[in-house]
Amino acid sequence: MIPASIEKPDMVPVEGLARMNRVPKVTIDFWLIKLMAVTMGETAADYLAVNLGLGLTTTSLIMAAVLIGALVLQFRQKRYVPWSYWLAVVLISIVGTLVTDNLVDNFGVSLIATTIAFTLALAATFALWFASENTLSIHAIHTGRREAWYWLAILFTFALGTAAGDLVAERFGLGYLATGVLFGMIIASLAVGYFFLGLDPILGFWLAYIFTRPLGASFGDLMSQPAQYGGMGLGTVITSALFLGAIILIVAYMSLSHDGEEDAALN
Amino acid sequence: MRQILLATALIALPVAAFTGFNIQQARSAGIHANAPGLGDLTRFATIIADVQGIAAKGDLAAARDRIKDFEIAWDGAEAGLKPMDPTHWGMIDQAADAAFTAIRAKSPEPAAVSGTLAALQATLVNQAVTK
Repeated sequence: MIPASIEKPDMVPVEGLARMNRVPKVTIDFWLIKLMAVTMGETAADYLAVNLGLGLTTTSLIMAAVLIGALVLQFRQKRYVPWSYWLAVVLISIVGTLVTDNLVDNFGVSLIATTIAFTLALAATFALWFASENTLSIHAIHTGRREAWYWLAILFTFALGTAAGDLVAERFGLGYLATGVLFGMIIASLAVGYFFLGLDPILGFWLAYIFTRPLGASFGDLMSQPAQYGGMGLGTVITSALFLGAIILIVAYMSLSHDGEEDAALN
Repeated sequence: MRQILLATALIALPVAAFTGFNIQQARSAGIHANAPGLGDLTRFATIIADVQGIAAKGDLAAARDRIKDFEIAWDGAEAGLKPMDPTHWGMIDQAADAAFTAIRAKSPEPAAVSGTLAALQATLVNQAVTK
């Protein structure tokens, strides 16, 4: 008799971990920490490139290398481990921001072109993910290949969110406060759609994931910008440090409470 | 397909409401909304004047340290400043990049340094005067 595992090598139980979801359940603290990771990504990218004087190109290369290291760690876990997962999200947020900044500042690509390009890249990722796995479910990321699709999609949502947010803020002359209000309204509308109008959970999740990027960036700007321009004048250093501290606290709470782990029965 | 339409509607609705509100506000605020300009740029112009003074004395290393203060202040205000007037902001930013390059060269050319600093100062002062 041929064991089922030969036909579906992805599902070979490795010490009982193979079918465990490697990414968290979407809860309130998931969104809270995602929003803060985004905010930190924006302010930390600025801090590294300007205050430390590394420049955009060097910063991008260093952060990309660190991200690759973090992803290697994350892929090795084979299950959801809060510190490893959220470290990867924070770094993707920073690198996603830097990718867009590089395209716009160093290569002179317009924000409209980057917005369209990343929309297409994200759509292609979802199309190929679905073609390969027959599902886009985020509740059954239990193989390395599915996890690769998941992180690729996340990278593009960050790059797209950055480009679209900057486009709205600059092209249409909206400041960060108005931009924040606009994206906050869109997310609230998607939440109404999900809770009351039967919006597909997976579609709603990814859309909210895109729009929380510019929302988080607006929060970051609100805190870091000088009072003269309507901000709280905390600067990028204090803002980044505050959010990093809050993220560490929530991740510690998640690790202790096991909040965010997918129930085994669901898999 | 129904899901795509629903999602589009859910995004379009707040965008439309927001845009409508914005247009209404712009109308009641009159022309102000069309030409906000970059406002008061004195604090940036002051640093550059300082850098120019230091560079004129020939201490290019000290000038390089001082222009860092400008870079941090300028970049730190980007999110607040740039949307007010992206075109003029871009002009200043380009002039600033040229000055950074000149002053941070391995062996800086005094003429290039003073030239790019003067050009940067001109874009800064120009903004403040025309608006």
